[in-house]
Amino acid sequence: MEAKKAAARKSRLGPRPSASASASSSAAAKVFSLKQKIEGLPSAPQLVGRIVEKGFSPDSDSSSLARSSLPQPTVLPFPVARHRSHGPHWSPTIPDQDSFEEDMDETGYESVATFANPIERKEKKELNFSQWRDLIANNDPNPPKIKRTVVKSSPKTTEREIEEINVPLIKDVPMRDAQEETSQNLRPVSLREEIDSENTARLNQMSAEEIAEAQKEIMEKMNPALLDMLKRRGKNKLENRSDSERERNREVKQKDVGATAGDWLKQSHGRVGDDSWKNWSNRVERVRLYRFKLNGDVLGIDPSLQQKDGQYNPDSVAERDFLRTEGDPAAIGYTINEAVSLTRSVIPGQRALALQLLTSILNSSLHDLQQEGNISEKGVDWQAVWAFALGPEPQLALSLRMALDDNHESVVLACARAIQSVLACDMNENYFDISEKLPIHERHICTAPVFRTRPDLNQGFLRGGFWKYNTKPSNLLPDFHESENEGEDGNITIRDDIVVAEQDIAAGFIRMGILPRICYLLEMEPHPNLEEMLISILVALARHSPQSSDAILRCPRLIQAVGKVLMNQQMAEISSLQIKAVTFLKILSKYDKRTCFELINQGIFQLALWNWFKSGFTLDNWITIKRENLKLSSSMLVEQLRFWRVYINHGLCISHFVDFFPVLCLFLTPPIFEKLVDENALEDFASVTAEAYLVLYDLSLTLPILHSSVDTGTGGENVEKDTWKWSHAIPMVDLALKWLELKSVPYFPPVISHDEDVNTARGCPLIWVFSSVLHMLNGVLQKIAPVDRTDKSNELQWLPDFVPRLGLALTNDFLEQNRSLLKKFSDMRKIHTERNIKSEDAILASMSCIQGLVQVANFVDSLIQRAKNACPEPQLTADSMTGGEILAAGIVNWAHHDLSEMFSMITADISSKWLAAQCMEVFGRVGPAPGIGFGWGSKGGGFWSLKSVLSRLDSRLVLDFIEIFPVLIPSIDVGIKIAPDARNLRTINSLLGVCLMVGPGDRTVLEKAIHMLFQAPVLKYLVFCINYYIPNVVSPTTAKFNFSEDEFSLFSEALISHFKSRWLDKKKLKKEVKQQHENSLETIHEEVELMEKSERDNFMVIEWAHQRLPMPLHWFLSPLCGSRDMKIGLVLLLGLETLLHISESPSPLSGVALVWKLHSLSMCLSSDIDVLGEEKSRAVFEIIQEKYSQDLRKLQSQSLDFQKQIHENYSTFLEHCIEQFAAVSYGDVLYGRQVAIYLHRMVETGVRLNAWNLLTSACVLELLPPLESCVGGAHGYLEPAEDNDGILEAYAKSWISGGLDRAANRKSMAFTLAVHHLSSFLFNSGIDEKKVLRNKLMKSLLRYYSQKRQSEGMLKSLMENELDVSQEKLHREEISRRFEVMKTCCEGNSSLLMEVEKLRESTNR
Amino acid sequence: MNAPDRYERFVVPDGTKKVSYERDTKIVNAGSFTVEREDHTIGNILRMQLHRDPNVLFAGYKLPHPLQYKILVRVHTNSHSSPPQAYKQAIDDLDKELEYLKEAFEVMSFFTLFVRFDSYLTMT
Repeated sequence: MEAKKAAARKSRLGPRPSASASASSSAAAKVFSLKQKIEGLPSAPQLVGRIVEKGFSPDSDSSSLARSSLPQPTVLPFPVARHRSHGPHWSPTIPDQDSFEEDMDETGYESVATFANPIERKEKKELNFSQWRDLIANNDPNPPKIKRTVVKSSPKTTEREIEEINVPLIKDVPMRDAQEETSQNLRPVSLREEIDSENTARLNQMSAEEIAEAQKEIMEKMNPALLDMLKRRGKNKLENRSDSERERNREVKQKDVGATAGDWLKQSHGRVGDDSWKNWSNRVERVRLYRFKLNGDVLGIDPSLQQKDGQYNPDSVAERDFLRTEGDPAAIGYTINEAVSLTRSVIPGQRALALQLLTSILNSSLHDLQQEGNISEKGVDWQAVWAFALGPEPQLALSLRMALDDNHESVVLACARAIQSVLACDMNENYFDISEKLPIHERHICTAPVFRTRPDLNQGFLRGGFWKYNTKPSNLLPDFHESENEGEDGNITIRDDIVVAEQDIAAGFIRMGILPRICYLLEMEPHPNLEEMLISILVALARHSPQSSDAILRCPRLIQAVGKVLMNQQMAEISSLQIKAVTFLKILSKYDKRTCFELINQGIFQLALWNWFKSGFTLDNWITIKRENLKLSSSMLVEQLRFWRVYINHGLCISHFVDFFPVLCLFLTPPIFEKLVDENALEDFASVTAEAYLVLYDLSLTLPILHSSVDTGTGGENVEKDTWKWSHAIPMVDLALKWLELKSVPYFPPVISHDEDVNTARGCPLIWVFSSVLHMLNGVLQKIAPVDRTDKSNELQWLPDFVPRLGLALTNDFLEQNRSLLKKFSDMRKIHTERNIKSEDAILASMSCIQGLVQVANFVDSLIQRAKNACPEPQLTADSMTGGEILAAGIVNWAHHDLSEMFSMITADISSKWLAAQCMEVFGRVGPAPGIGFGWGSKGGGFWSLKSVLSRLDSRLVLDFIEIFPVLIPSIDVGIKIAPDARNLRTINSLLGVCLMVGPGDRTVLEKAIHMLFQAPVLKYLVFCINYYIPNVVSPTTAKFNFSEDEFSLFSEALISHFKSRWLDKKKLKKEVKQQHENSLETIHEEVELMEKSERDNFMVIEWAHQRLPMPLHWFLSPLCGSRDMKIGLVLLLGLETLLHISESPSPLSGVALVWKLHSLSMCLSSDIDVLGEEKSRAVFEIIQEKYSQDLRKLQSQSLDFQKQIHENYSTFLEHCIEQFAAVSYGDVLYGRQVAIYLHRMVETGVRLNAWNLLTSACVLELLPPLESCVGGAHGYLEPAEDNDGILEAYAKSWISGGLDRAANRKSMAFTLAVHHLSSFLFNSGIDEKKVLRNKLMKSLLRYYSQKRQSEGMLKSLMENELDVSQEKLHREEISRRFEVMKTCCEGNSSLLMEVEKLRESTNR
Repeated sequence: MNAPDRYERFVVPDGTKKVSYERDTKIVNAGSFTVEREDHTIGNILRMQLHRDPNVLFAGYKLPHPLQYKILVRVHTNSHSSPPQAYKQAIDDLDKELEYLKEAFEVMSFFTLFVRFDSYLTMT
């Protein structure tokens, strides 16, 4: 027995000395090695200037030197964590390599390695005293040192021993596996951990008996209390360890998956569900492993990549391919990272190959992005591939920019192609090409990626902040502000370029100086293919933003180089290169009028339009050109006309009409169709014709107003402005009428078929022609007399004779000839939506055609009505008397049936479309990738798809239709009960849908929609609906709402002005204002010019940035959130709520979550309590609250996540709201109800706890209403019973602090709530769990009772909570059970037990 | 630059009353007091005192703006009392309480002084 004990002791003591011995020996080795190393290094830079402190031995010093790395000179990346870099663009995990490199000591361990002793831990197991002595004897580390360690660690010995006891006692000890062990060895090991690891190793060795024996021994020796304490400590330690291990594991996992990227998103965008963001970043992260074939297909996902990261490092990919060039280099495939690094290979062939690979990857992902639907066949997630490629990690922009500087032509060519696909050139061109066919001034929309500013408290956390560019415009050209920060110039590094490129790839390219390089390449007269690509890159860059166009203009000789392209090509046949050059010039001129002047002065404008100056251009000649060239020629003509249109819109070059007329005339007159069909040139001809009529449309907009000029005489003419002349316009109208009067047009009206090519080739161009013709006529009609609907007396003295002719042509010929044209169009649309045929172009054309038709018909009608008195008999021939009748009745009325059918179809379509328009926004951006335009990476193109163009066109069309069929408000007598008319409801709903669909380019549309939606009759109608609906919500006796006509018009004005200013205002650039203050007089002139310029910009170019459209779903809540129009807003909200309730058709209102509505009510109260002061608005508020109360009751499974759905800082708002409640509310019931909502069981725990605490600290718990009158019914507050410790403690705390005393007296819901949840926790919860908390709470309640006898009633109600007094026996049993529970909770405390007895006595009494 | 002068925080301007009372038009027995040139120091203590009054149904105060040196105290009482009465009562009670506190403090400090002095005497 004795011997065993001794052995045990020995073995316990064993490891220590050996450890210290080995430590000292290794320390010695380190000292040695370091000395050697320092001697070896001639100048050890790390050591220079090091401070040697006194009292520290060089030994310890040196060891610390060896352990930690010296501070390295680092350069901070320039924009340190700016908000712009925050966002949904996936970002890679912190690059592991870098961090490893930083941690690795440059001093190099390898050289030291020779001196290091091998680790001897394994031998320790066998150690005994004799060996220990030998060790001391053999090695000569100074003995006192050992002694010291022995003494020092003696308390630890006990700890160790105790652990030995404890570890086996606990069953679920997570044993570290070997991998953990090795990973741990990498970290610096502290003495404590060392001991710890020895212990565990030792324990692993001991048998169960040995352990038991050792335990027994210790038990005998030690004080049981101490033992207990140590046991607990050991347990804690174990838990900690397992926790930290779990954490470490998680860290490792996160590193693998890269989910950490989501962290900053949570900060920046609280609304984004963590899940969706995590999913997305996981999807992108997976792309890292994709291996691609050379043709861009995915070869497979290589899961092994991560493990053998060392071998397959992207850095060594060039080496790998160098070795394998003789085999099949494409055998294994490449990841994107490898491909990017291969672009920097030394072998030109590899570079070109890598660039081609990248191009094909990008192209195939672009191609896939076009398709809607989720993930393509094969399960390749191309959207993620696109986002990854453009994302920050591969640094694609930098590599491509470098490759463009290559001196091998093939590499440059491949690189240009890659850049072209990175910028999504073709897709964007396609979009703009079609959108420019629309006559409605589809102005240029900048393609730069944008994001929204975060919602802020002052505006009630409503979504829909201003858009901002991903990268600051000043970042585009760093030298632009050179003068401002001269001192910092040296700090601009390539790192900044990369950061910019991460935010916005096109901006990155410009910043890296792609423009001078392109200019140089163009000047070198490269291969035509390359030249074309370069110019299309320029086009894409020019589309980016006004700043990028500025940068292009600033680039010396670039414009000249492009002009030279035009010059060179003039002699030879037309090529697509030339067309692109014209496009490029067109975009540049759109941005700024000054550019136009410059281009005219330099003669580039004339050069670009040289075709049109040519004489002897005949149709026959034109048709006989070869097929391919005919196509090119027609698109060239179209492009040139578009270029001219830009100038016309700027008010320039209108006089060129005369010069161009000879050629223009060929296309304006209806041709001989047979010939064109024979030559197969109909399509080309039609596309030019359509464009030519659009030119006329633009020209017609510059016409002086016919009647006003008659009235004011010649003096009113604006001399400065270049305008079109009526003498030119009238013949053009005649030409247009000829088109309408055509008897038979081939392929028109078109028949849609399943064959895409047939669709596009045949019907489509002709529909475009008719659409343009109709719009042109519309433009002319607009200029006859100003549209002034309000002024009824405004009668026209005479009409130009083409107006009735036009009317007749429209009715007799156009509609009559192509009988049921409208029906065919609607059929087309139906087929399109049902069978999902790719025929957006044709649909767009037909819709545009209908729009023109509706507008023209409407105009003609109104003009004829106005002129009717003046000239009762229009000059008509006898045979058209029937036509005269039609005109008198109005074309709209004549075609009423068809039109209304069309209208109802489109409204039905709209109701399904607004959702899609809303879904475009992801993570606070319009697309997940920082590309441009289509390259924002939304599935199906998002905003940049034809679908969205169509939906915007539809929204315009709906407005036009509503103009024809206004909301017919029945003359309402409030008393009468009529069910609201379904048609009107549908109209209002579709208007609401339109409001959600407008994009940044359709400000006028939204304005119009808002005017229509909030005109007085509609509001009146809403109030009518409210009165109809109220009895369903509250008691039927409630008074009806009555507003006078004046009030309605007042409402309408206030609402219109509010919504306009709230959603349509442009952001004022602070900088401009500031500069005006800062700089002295001389700059003022410049600033004024700048402002003018920006105003002019608005005319032709639309920026996403600095505005708010599209609006968020809950836009109509904005009057309630921080504005002065709250009372009206409440009426509106109630009206819309009733609308939602009454109408059967799906309404856009249904998309708004209840949380938002409840929040808006709170917001309304907290910003101004006066809402409740006024009688009417109070009543409205009450009804709304009651309505939501019913909604809340119906809401079953969902929870009210204020923090998650509205804003992460919701508590800030809550604080303000409750403060107001406490300060000024007089304890108003409605306000109390509103505040009490935050205590509802469905509200997330954090908010609930916060609300309770705030109410307690403001001493207003007693002001809350009784539970029965709370919003959503009592049940929702009480069930399920509370299980959150924090909240239970908060309840008990306010009980003890006396906060609930008055609440109990006043029967406030706060008391009921606290009593219910506390009693169900104290008496009814399970036995074991949370016993400590229960005892604690019970004791403190009893203690409070002992101090304050008045609280007896409260405690009694706690005892009797939820008990039925009628069943006496059951009641008594339950009470006694509860007393028993109470007693056990006292844990034998006699004074508390006495209190329990007292309570029992008083209850019995 | 355009910050108000420091003295504005505590000097009641001429012509304005230190305390003014305005009855609420809609609710019976309710009204708001405007106390010029005071802040949370008075506001909070007053409110808490009013809360102790069983007749007071609601008492709250707010500082409308950090640069407007006044507080608004809103009081709502039941029919047994009225806001001015409750307000007066609260002020009186506070006065008494503070007076008591002051006395107690003075007695205590006197005692300590006395004891010190005593010990001083014995030491010498």
